[in-house]
Amino acid sequence: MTEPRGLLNSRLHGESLTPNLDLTMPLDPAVRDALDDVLRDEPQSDELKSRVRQLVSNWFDHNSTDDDVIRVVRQVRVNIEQDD
Amino acid sequence: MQVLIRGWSCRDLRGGLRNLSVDLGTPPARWTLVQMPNGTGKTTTMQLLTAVLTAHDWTVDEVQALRPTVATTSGGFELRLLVDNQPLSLAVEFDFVAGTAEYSTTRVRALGGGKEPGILLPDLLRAMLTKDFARLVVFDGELARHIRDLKRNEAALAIQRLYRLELIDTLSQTAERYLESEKLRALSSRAKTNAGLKKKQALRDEAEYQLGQLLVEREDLDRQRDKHFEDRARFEGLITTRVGVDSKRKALLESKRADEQTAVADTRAASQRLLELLRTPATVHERVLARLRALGGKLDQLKLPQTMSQEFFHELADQDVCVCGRPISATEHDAILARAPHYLAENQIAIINAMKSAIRTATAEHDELQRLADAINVADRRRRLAAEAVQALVEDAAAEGDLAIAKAQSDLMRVANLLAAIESRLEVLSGPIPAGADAWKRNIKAAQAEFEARKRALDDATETRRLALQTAWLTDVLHRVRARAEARLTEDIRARTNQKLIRLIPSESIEVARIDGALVLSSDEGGARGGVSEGQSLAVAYAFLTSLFEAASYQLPFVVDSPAVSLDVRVRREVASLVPDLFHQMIMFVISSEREGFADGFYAKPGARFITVWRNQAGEVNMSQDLAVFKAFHTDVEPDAESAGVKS
Repeated sequence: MTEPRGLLNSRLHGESLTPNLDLTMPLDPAVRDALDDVLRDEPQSDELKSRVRQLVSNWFDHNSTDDDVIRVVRQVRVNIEQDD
Repeated sequence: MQVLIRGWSCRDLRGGLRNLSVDLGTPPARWTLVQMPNGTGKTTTMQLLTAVLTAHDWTVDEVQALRPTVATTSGGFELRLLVDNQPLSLAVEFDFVAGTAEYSTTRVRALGGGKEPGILLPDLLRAMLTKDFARLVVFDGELARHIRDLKRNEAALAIQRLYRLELIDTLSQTAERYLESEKLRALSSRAKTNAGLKKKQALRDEAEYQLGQLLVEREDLDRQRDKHFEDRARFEGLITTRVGVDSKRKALLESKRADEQTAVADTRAASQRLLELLRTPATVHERVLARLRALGGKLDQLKLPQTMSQEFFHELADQDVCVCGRPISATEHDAILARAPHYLAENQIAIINAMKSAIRTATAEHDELQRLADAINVADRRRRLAAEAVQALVEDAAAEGDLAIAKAQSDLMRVANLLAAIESRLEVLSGPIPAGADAWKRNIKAAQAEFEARKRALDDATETRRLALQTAWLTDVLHRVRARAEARLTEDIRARTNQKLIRLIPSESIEVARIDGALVLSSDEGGARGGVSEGQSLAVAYAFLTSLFEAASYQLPFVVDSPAVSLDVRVRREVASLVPDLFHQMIMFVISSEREGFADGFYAKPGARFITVWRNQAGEVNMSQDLAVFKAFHTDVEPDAESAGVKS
């Protein structure tokens, strides 16, 4: 759970990352803009929105863990009484 | 990420690939033109390049097809790459006796390294290089036809892969997996005390399964419908062509078909409006309106719903003294709360208030209703008359002895019946929720509602309701982000493609109207699909591919077979001037007829590499990297070995 996802995948496929092979890529502007557009009107705190942006960015870099996802999910503010 | 091809080697393979090593230099040339006549192994080389990139699973027959002679027991192929400037070689070794293929990877690593079994590409590349995607990188020209085929979805998939939009889905799936694991944990820890939980889970799974089945069925029906639409268009086209031999009859046929379509559109519009009216019962008839007004009056008379609120009793129970002045003890408090559910809750009150308001403002519109019903009848009669006229014209032509018309007409009726059955089933599947307890087993909307209700019941029972809502928020946000990003990328790529098409095909206004799974050309939407030539189709494919790759974070090599063979010389020159700057490495397999207008555009480019491969009279394959040989080569004239700097 706490292992970086890229590394975990590499191990699953019998492979380890080489330190001299940087395979990360920046978040595409189309995804970044879409994130900003969608989050803008969401009734959540600025801090949570910023964490979601960071999570997506790290996920694209294969630099986040399942625990990071869970932490962000647990911080989402919801109305438990709301109907579906 | 940047991937370059450094070269490849073939050993003991069929099609002239007995002993051939192609080196593209250090650093690899940006443009390499490989002139290989038919029979020297061009198709096999393309197949092997794709196979090692995608770790293709070879069948015994495929392996045997590469065997050059019965005496040869093994052969091999190696592709040499540079991945972000690190050398990496992918190889496949064929055992022709056993009919097997073994992959290996050789790479430089901080620890270990050397040759290892399997295709060990970096994760990002391996995830992207599926068989479908690899066809865009090792481009065999066949895709040019498919890229605008409505049934295929390679264009949309390529955008998703190249811009890694699937990663957004995996992020959502991770959150959902965690929610599921929490539910399972709750179930297992409470199963002994609450057997009902397992039942709730089974009920949710049942609804989820049913929903999945209905969605698959709809997809299947949509596919069948598309195919029947195509068949129908084909048969109608055939009939029009045959009937069109008589120009007067043709004009009449077209006019009647247009009448039929207009009548269908009119019926649809009137039916739509009629359905909207029927959703408001008060508009149906004055008597219905009068009765509803009477109901509204009674609600007012009873002061409903203001005096009957559950919330009022909840608030009252918490007071020390009742409205009648008597004290409220624990006994009264509990009694009031126990009876509160007999009264209306806030959401029910809101519905009743909305009803009252609607009744107050409603007016009967039965004149409108009658007018629409008449309009539908008239339009339907027009449709029937037009259809009968079409039928009569076709029968006249068939009666004159045209068997092809009779056959097409019978096929058309068969397809129409199939389409009607599919439309009818789709109506039940995708239409509004029908009445009846088991609607969720037949209707997608009902199945979705049932699934949501059962999911919620399970969430409540496992006390994971909060987590479910939190997960739902995140996955909904991610879903919208993905849709928005994909729409933006698709539109951007479409606009870039069209800009290039203006340059490539200036004489005709061919443009990509939308990328909807595949590329849809404006001429497709106009119904004139046959109007695009193979060369134009290839130009569309190039314009799209270059647009697709130019803004992506991946820099991949582009390998193409016969890039200009179906293009006329003018379009060739345009393609040759447009394409090279857009790929950071291009390897083009050409034949001698593609030199004019295409290959000659590369002669003056510094660093371009020109390789000629041919088979001599003894059947051996030779190779030259001399531009002079490349320029002068003809399939039927073997170059002079010494002057050509031949390697064999």
